[in-house]
Amino acid sequence: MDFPKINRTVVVAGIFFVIIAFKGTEPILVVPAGWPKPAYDVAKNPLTTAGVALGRQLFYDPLLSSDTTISCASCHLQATGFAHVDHQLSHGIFGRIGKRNAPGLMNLAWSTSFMWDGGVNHLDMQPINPITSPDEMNETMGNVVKKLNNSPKYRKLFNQAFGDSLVTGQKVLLSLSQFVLTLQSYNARYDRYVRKEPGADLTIQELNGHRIFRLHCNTCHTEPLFTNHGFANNGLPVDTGLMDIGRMSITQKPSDSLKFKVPTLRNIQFTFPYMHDGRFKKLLDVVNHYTNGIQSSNTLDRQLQQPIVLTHEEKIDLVAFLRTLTDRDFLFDPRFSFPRE
Amino acid sequence: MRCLLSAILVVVTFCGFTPQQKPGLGSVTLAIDLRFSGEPLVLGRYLCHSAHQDSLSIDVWRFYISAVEFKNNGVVRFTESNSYHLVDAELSNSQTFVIHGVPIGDYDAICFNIGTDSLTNVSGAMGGDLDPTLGMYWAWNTGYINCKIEGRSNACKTLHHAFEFHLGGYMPPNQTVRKLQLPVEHLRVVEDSTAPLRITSDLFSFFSHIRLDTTNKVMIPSRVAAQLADNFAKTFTVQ
Repeated sequence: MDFPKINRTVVVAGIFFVIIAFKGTEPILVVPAGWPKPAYDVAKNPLTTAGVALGRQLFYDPLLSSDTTISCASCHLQATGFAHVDHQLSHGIFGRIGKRNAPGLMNLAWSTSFMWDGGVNHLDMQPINPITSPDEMNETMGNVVKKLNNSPKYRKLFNQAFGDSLVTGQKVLLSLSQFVLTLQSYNARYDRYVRKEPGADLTIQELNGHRIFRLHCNTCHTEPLFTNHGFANNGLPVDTGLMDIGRMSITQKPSDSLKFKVPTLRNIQFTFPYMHDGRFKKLLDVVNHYTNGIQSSNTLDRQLQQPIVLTHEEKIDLVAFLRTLTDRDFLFDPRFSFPRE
Repeated sequence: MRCLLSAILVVVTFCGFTPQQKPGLGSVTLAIDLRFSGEPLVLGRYLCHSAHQDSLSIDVWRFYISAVEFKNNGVVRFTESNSYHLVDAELSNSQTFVIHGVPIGDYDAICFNIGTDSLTNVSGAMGGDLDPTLGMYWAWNTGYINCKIEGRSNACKTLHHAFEFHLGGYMPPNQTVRKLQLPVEHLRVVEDSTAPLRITSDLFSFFSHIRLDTTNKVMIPSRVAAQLADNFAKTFTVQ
């Protein structure tokens, strides 16, 4: 392959940068070239080795639930992009079923709101939801803090992370943020292709899928994060069993009825099932929904008012492109896995 | 040895109780007097009567006072930094707090927010009185509960005759933070001394403005929550 010299320099610099980021003394938030400014202000919660390690312990610890059976990782598994694979609706303690599909966790520093309805305005505050939801971990924040304060192991970890062994709600949330902020995915084949790394070409089929993607999907699933962080009604027929009105339950505006957060498509190959209620098992089911399943309503997204027409071959190409968003470095990074002592 | 320890103890105690003030500065001790119909509030006791002749009891009453300022002749002379105070009817020590670093001089007004401003509500995990473990934070629709009033009344046709008012919401048009300015008389701050200031909140008027048979559960940011926040703000007076 013949690469212009400037690109080689960028690639080398980029690799060097990543090495510095991970071999250095403290973890940092990596802002890949061409990405926008993160929404999360790490200056207010600087990542530290001890802080991230504490957050990782908490993420994998079922102590956060009322009967110590459910951890964050119960519904957010690394191998599937931190989504809840094979479950349409995620389940919590006593086998209780929640009302939505647990989304994948990645590149959260760029997210401007959290939960499918965007009811949470800051990454720090998001864990309060699963911890206190009766269908998920069914615990109180006060009791989590009490249990952690009673644990010599955690007293030590909090002391290492914050210079004070007293556990508070603020410290629990800040350390969880620190860990999930490190869950960054930017080394998919797509990324290597965009960075013009040697040997990182996409196939003709994938390139055609990329062209189709930019034509029909990119307005909402905007590169490079593959989401515009907005809310949209994507024409899903309402599940009359769930009667989930989405964003409107937060804003109470009829104009937000049936709108849900636009999720990222990174690692989408592994974060099945799809949609807020996990109704689609396969990527092709999702594509078929956009071509043939759109149900019209007052709040249907403008982009979907005109039918999307794709041949079967084009659909296959589009799915092939979506698979290039799979980041194996991320899915198998040992720094993100269950912390063995 | 024992003398030395005693001396250290005295010094530590002294430092602990009189924080070092810079020259020209004093402090104000703000006491929040929680009342119902002029009487000191007793939680859980069925003694209170609203204007509608309903008997009711208050079981929980907690609210934030934030952004405390002192004014003279219409000019803000002092703004407390990191000014967040959670007042809880159950905890008498939360009802009195000292505001340090107030420049010496005379003041004719106090300003403060009842509740927390919108910036506080979008700033992530905070500590101290803003720690989300304190039960004054909403998980599913993020934001602080600015005021929580819970209790029971025979007027409520609800389970256990309970009423619950969780007043919060920072987004327009239903913001629930209320800025108050109350005139004060004879507030003179003297160097190295603390000036007492007593503020009363009397829930009688709050319950006079609502019918508990129809309004007894407010748990989300809404127009009703904003109206109740207006009512709650009117319960504050300086004695």
